[in-house]
Amino acid sequence: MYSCKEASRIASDSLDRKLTWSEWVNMKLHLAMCRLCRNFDQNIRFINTIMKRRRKTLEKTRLSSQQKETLTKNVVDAIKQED
Amino acid sequence: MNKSKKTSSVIEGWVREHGDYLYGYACSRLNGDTETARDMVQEALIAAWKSCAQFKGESSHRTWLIGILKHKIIDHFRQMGRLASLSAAVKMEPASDFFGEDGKWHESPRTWHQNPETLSESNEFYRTLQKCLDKLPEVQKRTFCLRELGGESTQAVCKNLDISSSNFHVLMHRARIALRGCLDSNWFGR
Repeated sequence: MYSCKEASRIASDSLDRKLTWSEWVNMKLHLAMCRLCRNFDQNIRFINTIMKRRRKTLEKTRLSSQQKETLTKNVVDAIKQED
Repeated sequence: MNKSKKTSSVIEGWVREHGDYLYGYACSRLNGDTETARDMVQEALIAAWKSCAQFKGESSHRTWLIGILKHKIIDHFRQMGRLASLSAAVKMEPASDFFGEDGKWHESPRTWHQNPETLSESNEFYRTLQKCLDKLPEVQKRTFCLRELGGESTQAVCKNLDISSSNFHVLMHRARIALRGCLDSNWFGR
């Protein structure tokens, strides 16, 4: 029988790897009986969803035209120096 | 066209066509650290110019440039990785501060009733999230961000940070418990 410490670890692992059958069963058994760990599991999935959303937003970050100019200039200068 | 003008026009073309895309990619992998993201893009473009001759046209220019950028970001994380194996080895005791000796919770997680989709529109929430991320020990923060924010696979994170998969899972567990607790007291329980 898992303790909360073990069950929360397996719940966390389940977001990063495939669980073995026995890990999965033991986690589900613990969650069925333990409200705190069910809440923990809900909370970390909640965070996971939020982080995915955040990634989409960050991927849309754009360079200003001035930053593009600076970037081009820096790259060209660096290449010239090595020639 | 002389050589120097040719260089400029190629680089200008890359920045115009792919600059935003590369920058956005770097920002998401670097947790919104825009300054480092610009450095990484810059280094990637310089490296790309040097290895131009190796571009075979088998993939698109963008895919090729992203490949080079990925390597630059990995190099950037490598030093952190060495730090990670060290500190993870020192603190291998998994998440014990958060539990009693009987393995029961010290804190009491509760259900969060807000909708993550709506919440992700809130700048105020993101400021709180960022503060909570910043409170994590550096290694946990890097590991967590690369995995959850960067969306890299577990294997890729372990490789990039040079940590074992068991250290990885310990770090993720600790990071999630700490982040959950911080958001719970600073956002959900206000």
